[in-house]
Amino acid sequence: MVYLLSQIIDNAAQKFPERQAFRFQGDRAIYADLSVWTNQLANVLIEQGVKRGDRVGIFMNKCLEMPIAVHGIMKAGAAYVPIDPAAPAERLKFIINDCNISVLISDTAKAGVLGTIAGQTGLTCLIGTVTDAGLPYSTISWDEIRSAPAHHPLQHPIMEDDLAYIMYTSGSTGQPKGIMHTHRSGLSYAKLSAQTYGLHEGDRLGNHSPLHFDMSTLEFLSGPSQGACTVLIPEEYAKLPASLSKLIEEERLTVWYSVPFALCQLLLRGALESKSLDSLRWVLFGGEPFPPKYLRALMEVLPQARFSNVYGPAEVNQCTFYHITEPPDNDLESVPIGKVWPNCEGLVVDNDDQPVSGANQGELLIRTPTMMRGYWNRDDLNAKAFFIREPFSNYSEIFYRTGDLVRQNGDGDYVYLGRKDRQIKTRGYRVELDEIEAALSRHQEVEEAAAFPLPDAEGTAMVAAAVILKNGSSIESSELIHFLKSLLPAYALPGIIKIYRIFPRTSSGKIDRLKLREFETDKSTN
Amino acid sequence: MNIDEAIIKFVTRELLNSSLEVEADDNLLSDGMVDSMGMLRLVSYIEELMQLTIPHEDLVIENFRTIKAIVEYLEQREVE
Repeated sequence: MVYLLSQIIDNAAQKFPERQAFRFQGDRAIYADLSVWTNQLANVLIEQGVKRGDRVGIFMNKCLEMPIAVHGIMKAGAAYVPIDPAAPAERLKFIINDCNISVLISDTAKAGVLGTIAGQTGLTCLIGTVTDAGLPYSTISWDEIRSAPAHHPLQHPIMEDDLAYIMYTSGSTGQPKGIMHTHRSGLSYAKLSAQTYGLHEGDRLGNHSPLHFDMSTLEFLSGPSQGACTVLIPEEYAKLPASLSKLIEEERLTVWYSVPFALCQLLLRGALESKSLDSLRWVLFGGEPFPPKYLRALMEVLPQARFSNVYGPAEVNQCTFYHITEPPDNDLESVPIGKVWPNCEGLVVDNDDQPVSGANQGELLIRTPTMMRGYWNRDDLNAKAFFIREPFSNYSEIFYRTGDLVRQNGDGDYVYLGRKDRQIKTRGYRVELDEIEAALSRHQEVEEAAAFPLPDAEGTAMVAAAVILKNGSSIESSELIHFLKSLLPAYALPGIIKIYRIFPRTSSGKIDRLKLREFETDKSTN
Repeated sequence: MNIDEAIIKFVTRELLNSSLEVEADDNLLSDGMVDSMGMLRLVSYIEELMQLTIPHEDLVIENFRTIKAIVEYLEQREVE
């Protein structure tokens, strides 16, 4: 019986030893080998002093070592912490220090950025990185790991409520926050998703999402829990739609999961008419609303596939699901996010946390076994993130406050209406507008900054910003973008930064961001 | 201005906001270089610059990995 995420690979290896677990370009790993390789990595980590509950970072581009890292770290009793491989040095340093990472699994291409933060973190050991740059880290190569003891690491008994992974996401204070998932919450997700989509050992899942994005847990955890094969899609394929559609065709993928943006790109520029994509049986998307006109077109191109709108903040993995049988008739109608999964409960409340009835709008609260333990080291946020219901004395139920506004339609499906706060989604990524403003304000020439979303032609939102410069400053917006690149991940960078002399204000004197947004929308459409 | 010089200028200034000029052999698809939105802008720019339409089936890694590859692709188009 599997009750820990760290048992998934060994369990599949017993049932399907010869089946392929992961594929990356020309390379492949079968479950029997993956079981041995993850044991070896776990034994090396333990030898390096990694203990139960410790955090080990993963900072690399897609490669066949990535699943070894994910599952090997968990086998050692530690939690994996995926870091955006394109993260600027400042963000990388913050995450390493925030959760005290001393061992990092990386690749040689990252030696440069790791060199720039040398001596500024508690990092002591790099795995998979060959460097002769005199960096103050000990290094262990994959060749050395492949000659390490292959027995199962038994030194650390792992419990269901132990930490399994931490995913960092945009934080409103200007620094990212770490979402902690346990073996219990991660495995609950793997089981529920596998059951919902009927995943089996014959499936081939395409891993389009980066590892630090919570969607990747479907391909790294749920698929392997059923002995399925995951095809890791190199980052560069995501940028050229025709290469991506060719890969789906050649790899005969059966399950696709991505943000709507990627699917729209495939539809609009992927030359789908010349491809045979009849292997796809599930097209799953989530992260932001899918523009109905593109969804209708895509459903026509892929008549054999079943489509599902998937919803759930990274804090609860996923928690709702909506099987789309008919796309919306008109472009203004949005696709419902559906009903909560079995064993989950949704509650829609007003500003006083009182349940609202019927079709009234309110904030969605979720109670689910897939819910995070909390934010790493952020008691201030944890105090606000949860809602506790006590239907009986000595019995409490914990809900996560999603911050998402919803209502229920006539079929009892939830319909997403917007956010309670200033978080936006751009190409599926969560961006806190406060974080952008905080970052811009750190520039010495900036007096005041405002960030807001602008719709773009691809059916998603882009981040836009406006600044007022200090007296006498003559810097250009390109310099500000350059500055932001050192602080923010690429997806959060504003598409435009406009320099204003004065900002429109509300009657209370606050910056009128709605006016700024209207003003810039008019300019971009005229 | 040659095609490659124009593309180098566009990528450097508009897509990378960089003071350091991108080189013809640099991998445009690697981390921190051109992202998926940037690639769309680059394709539109080239279409306008060259007064041509790039068919969707040509939007592949081999044609767009470097500026050198883009120029070779465009030269190939002219021959055909």
